[in-house]
Amino acid sequence: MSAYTATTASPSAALPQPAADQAPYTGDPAYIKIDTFDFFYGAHQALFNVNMDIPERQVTAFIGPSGCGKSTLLRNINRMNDLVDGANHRGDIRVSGKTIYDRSLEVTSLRKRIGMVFQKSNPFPKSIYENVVYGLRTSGVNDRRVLDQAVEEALRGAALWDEAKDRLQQSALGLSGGQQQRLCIARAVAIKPEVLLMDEPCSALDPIATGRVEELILELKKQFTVVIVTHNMQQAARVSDRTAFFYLGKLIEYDKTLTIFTNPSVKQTEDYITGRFG
Amino acid sequence: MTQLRQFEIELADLKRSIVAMGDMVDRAIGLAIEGIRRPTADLRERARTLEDGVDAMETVIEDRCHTIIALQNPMVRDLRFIISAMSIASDLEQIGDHAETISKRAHYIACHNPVANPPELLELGELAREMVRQSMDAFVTGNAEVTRKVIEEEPQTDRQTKSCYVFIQERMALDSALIKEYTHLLRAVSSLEQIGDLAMAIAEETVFMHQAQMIRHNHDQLK
Repeated sequence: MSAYTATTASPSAALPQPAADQAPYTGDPAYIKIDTFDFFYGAHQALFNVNMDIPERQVTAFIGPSGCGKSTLLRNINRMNDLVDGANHRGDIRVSGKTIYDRSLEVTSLRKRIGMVFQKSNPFPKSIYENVVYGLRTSGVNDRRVLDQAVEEALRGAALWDEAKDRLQQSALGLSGGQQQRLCIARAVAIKPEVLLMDEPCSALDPIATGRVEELILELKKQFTVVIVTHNMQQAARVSDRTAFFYLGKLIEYDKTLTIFTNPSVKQTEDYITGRFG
Repeated sequence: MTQLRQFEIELADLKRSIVAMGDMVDRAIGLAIEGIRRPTADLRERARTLEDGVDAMETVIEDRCHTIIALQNPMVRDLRFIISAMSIASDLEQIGDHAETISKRAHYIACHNPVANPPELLELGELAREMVRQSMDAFVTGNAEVTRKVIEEEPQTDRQTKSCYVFIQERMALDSALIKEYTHLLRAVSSLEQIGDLAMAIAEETVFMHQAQMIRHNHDQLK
């Protein structure tokens, strides 16, 4: 457990004891290690004693019914939840062996290492080019040749280069929904993060655009560790190597995706996947 | 009606169809065994009609499975059930074919020169039929003990088949004028043996369906 275990005063009196049956998944070595992690929105506990080892350069999917805590956990990995009033945690999250709650760590530098793509594409009202280089410019990079190269690399990496290369100076808002989402992915990968968090990245996209983003996710995992929250069971099955099922703030089951979708160990997982509850 | 409820009704209908097909196949084997005992033209015709029904049933079940896969996106145990249903329907259809083959061979022999049956022939037929019944029981209940019984019975069908072959070969050597009839009898024996093999295949499939274990090439995995 980290030396730094809570961001605000802990409502410990109201806390249930950690579940004893949540052994950490022991597969590949952990790149992201979630260690006895509890999370609270004020007095409301949203996550209970989550233990997970997320391997490097693989896609890990978080699934579960609405309100199960999957997005909450995702947003903790780059401390997005620090922005929420009353947010509080116990336990630790370590990325590449180092706690993300180190007092000396700047949150902005953490978020450069751990990029995020949201449910709804959110391009800035700027040109395609400026969207992609936004992170680099805020890091002080202004060399035109460096930026040009980064734009091409990021757009190619996001499978958007062929569609956007002749309109780089046009507004990003003129792109289709699927293109905008891929632009957001390009923007996230342009600063070369170690981890890419994706919170339902395809939920607003049509099946064609979804297919392109899914292909992209499979490409991205060659360079990045990807964690994706999705409500789409088929998507989790298609793109992820590991799947974690959450329910009521608890990690119910975490295993290889093939196992989760063919022969899960816990009946709750099977009932959820087969649509019998949730 | 909720979509899930409709889906569960479709799965239940599919299960009933497989059971009904199993029942038709059981009757077809019964006719085949009766044909070995006392072959008649009527038995031959009834076997043919039943076989047509089994074929039609397989098509209906396959079509239902395809529709459920396309429209309902089944997963985990539901997907295993659909996959198993298609496989079991195919096995049952082949058992139906073998049953009809036996009826046809028995009728041919009766219409030409009746020959002596091997002493183990009827016993082999009854054992193969019982194995099919047990495998269908395992399909419905998921009872691993029943599956184990079917798997353990299969070597017995092999032994009885070999005894029948020896008997027929000896008779062929004694009377070459009856070689054609005995060749038909050999085919009937072979079909009974294959019914036993297919019954075991169904039993193995039920283990995949109920326990997500593929034991086809390793029966030791049966829990």
